[in-house]
Amino acid sequence: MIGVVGGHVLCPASGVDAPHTVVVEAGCITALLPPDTPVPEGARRVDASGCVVTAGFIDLHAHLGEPGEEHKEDLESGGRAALRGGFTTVVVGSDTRPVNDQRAITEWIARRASALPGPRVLPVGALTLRAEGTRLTEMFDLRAAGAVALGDSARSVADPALLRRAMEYAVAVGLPVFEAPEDAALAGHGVMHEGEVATRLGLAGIPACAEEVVVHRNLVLAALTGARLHLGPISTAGAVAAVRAAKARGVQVTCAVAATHLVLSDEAIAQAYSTHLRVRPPLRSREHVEALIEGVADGTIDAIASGHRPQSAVEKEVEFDLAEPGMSALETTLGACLRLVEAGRVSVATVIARLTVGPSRVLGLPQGRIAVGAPADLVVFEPRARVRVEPSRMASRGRNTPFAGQALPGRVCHALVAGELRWSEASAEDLALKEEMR
Amino acid sequence: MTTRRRHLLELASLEAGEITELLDVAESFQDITHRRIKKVPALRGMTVVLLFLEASTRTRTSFELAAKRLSADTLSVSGGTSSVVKGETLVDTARNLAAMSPDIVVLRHKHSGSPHLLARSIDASIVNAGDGGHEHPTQGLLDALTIRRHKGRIEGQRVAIIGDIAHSRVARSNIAALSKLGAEVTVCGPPTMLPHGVEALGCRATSDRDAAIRGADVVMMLRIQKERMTEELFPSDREYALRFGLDRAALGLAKPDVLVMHPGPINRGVELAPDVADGPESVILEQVANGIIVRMAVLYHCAGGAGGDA
Amino acid sequence: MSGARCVMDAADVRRAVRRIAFELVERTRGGQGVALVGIRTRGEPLAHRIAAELREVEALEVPVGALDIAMYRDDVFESGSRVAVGQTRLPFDVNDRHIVLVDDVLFTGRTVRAALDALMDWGRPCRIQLAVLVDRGHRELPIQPDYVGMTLSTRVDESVRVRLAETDAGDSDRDAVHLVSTPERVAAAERRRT
Repeated sequence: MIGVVGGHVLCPASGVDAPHTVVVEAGCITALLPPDTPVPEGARRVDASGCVVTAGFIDLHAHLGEPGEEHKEDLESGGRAALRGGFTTVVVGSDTRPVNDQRAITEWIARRASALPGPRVLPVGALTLRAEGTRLTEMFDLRAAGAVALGDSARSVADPALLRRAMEYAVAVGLPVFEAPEDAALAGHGVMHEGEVATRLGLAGIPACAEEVVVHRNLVLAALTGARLHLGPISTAGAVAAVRAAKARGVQVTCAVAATHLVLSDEAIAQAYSTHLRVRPPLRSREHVEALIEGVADGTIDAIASGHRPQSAVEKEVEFDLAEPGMSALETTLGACLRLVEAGRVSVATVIARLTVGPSRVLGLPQGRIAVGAPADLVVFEPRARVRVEPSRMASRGRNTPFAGQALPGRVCHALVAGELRWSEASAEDLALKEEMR
Repeated sequence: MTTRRRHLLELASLEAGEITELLDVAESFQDITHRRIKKVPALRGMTVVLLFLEASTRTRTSFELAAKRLSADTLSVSGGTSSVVKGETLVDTARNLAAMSPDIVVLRHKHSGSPHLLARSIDASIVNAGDGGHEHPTQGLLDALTIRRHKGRIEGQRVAIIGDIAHSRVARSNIAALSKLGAEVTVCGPPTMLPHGVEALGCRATSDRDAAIRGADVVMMLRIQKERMTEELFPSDREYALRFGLDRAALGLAKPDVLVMHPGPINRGVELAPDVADGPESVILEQVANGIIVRMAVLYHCAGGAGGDA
Repeated sequence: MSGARCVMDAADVRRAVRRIAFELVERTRGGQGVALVGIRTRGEPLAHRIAAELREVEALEVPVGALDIAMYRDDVFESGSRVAVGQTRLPFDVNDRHIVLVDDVLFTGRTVRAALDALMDWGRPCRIQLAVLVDRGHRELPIQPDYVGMTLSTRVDESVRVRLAETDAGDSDRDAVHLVSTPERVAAAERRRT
């Protein structure tokens, strides 16, 4: 039994927004008590004074390296990074190496993750074999092995006829279809957003229409097939507008945005050609960022994800054209979100909703809310504390973050997964110190 | 030990005054090229490495001569024979060269932003001799010098730049230099070759060649770069020559004392009709000659940065 | 200028230039084959003034050139303010010429050393002499003037400031040479430059 004491509980799903003591037992939340209530006899006390207590964050779009790219990240380092960033559930894309297109790989990921004291790891199973876009995978099998969604995370399905069939099949399987919308031909050899900055820097651009074209196509097919479509991460104003209109028409669609795309535009790349800013989808110009923020505020965008894709120095210490896209983002997502809150663009409640109940609804998960009987996935954080991003002290093996050296708001103090205290900042510091002294 | 290095990575981040100063210093080298001893001892004892990872004989020899005329020692590393072919990264190649303590590294590379990466990675002054589709600063400077020599000043000159603007680093450098010095620049090409938001660089854009040339003081033709295009941007050489090439008839729309320029090498009969390339308005060969004094000025400018104020 | 002492006024400057011109004619047996080369910046107007005296007094036309020595200095890349690079103009053949270098102040001798190197790269003069308005001593190289307007005894922490109408905005009645006290640091930098 654990009692989380002294914190301000914020749960947009259940409407709680007040100080409470939260009691957790046997993996579930068992009680929400008035703040001055002492912790029950024999319970471990987790101090949340001065902090906000919310449901643990759920990340819909992350890449944790295993299997295949362990030099960049593995489930253990990625798991620690997730907890440090406040994420108690991480959905990993199917673009592992090999692609997660069969039961054996899905089971392997689930088993390996469950053996680690980390967050819940939920795999996305590929829609097509090797994500090549030509043959369907054994989707029922993938679901049975633990897949929570189906999608060729590395790319959009190029053949619309095949996507239609895949969606129809997925309806029967009962899983949502995840698509990262980008048309490969329109994107061409682009390495950043096609616009003034790309022109100035002499870099090939990925036009906004590369994303919009696929978004529109997918919405039409979703309406036709009745599949649950999830688009993410998105990056364009056009995508937000299309989803808004489709939702109004009753299409079953959800979408997510990576937190970085809410606080950085392509202007950040100008001058220094920093490869830490080469990401997929690309950072877009100011007007797209504004539309994404509006989408988050009005709920068109259901979830804020990390988009975590760590790279090692080998992939990043090269010319921009040759750098592999991706940002190590699990540990900076909360900070980026709170920056948006501090700028007055959205409320804390909205941001928490997009990190908890929003993604929870996309996948129909029981976690994501603080209520009696709900899974005990909690995060305790200090919203106004400032933490300096120091790559050498990051839990993720990937140190590729553009926020290096910057002080981001929000300090995650504790993270509980299934009722277990799996991360505490204090003990993490001790661990780091022990590493240094060794 | 920290030395504040002076680089020349792009003209877009220079002030008009700095560009003018470079042109003036270049002019001061003109007489040296006519006397018997074509050297000055300014860079004596310094090492200039020419790291040309993209094919170029013209620019490389121009830089080599410029360095030698300043009495520097030169070291030439070219694409075909270098370790980069064996898969060594740019940063590793540079670090190995840096072990020989070069004072200046002149880099030509097919990826935009490589000089910036180099400047972050090694302790030497970096001179950009052309990076991908980004800039070719010394070409922009020598073009500006050529125009200034003939016209007296750059301010108020109407300059038309015609060709594959989207993939041209020469165009970007020229737009930067000429617009900062007060010229009116118009870029022209098929719509598929005009980059997004090019007006924001400081010029007008059109796909109407005749409109661009009309009343121009300077017409600068760019080479159609087949090696840099990977998709179909125009249907045929023939159509390009007819609609966007420069022949005598089209040249007639410009001012009578118009200058015809081209960074070379020329695709005769495609962007430039042979009689225009060899005609009286052409200053193409002079551009090449001006390249050497401009590069001397640039090397002198960068060498002076070690330990000094900007 | 605080602590400034005027050591030559406009009339002194005029007389000095005239006297140099006379000496020059005398010691070159009429000034045939002579060319004046002023070291930029203030050596140039002084060279023109000497040429004007020669024209007026002796009806002698002596070609005048200007020499920029920025590329030949031995302190090109030391920290400190950058020296502006100017044009060298030598409208005559340097070979077999009797060149008289002209400068405003002779101090350490390094400027003249650079000017000699520069001149040699232009050709092979048969003879080179040196004319200066002020010799302030403290030589660091074995270089001596042939024609001197004024010899001045100075301390290392003093600067010689020359004003000429052509280069320092004003009319010729405002020409002057001042001796000024300067902080050691500034004086040291000046010494390195000249």
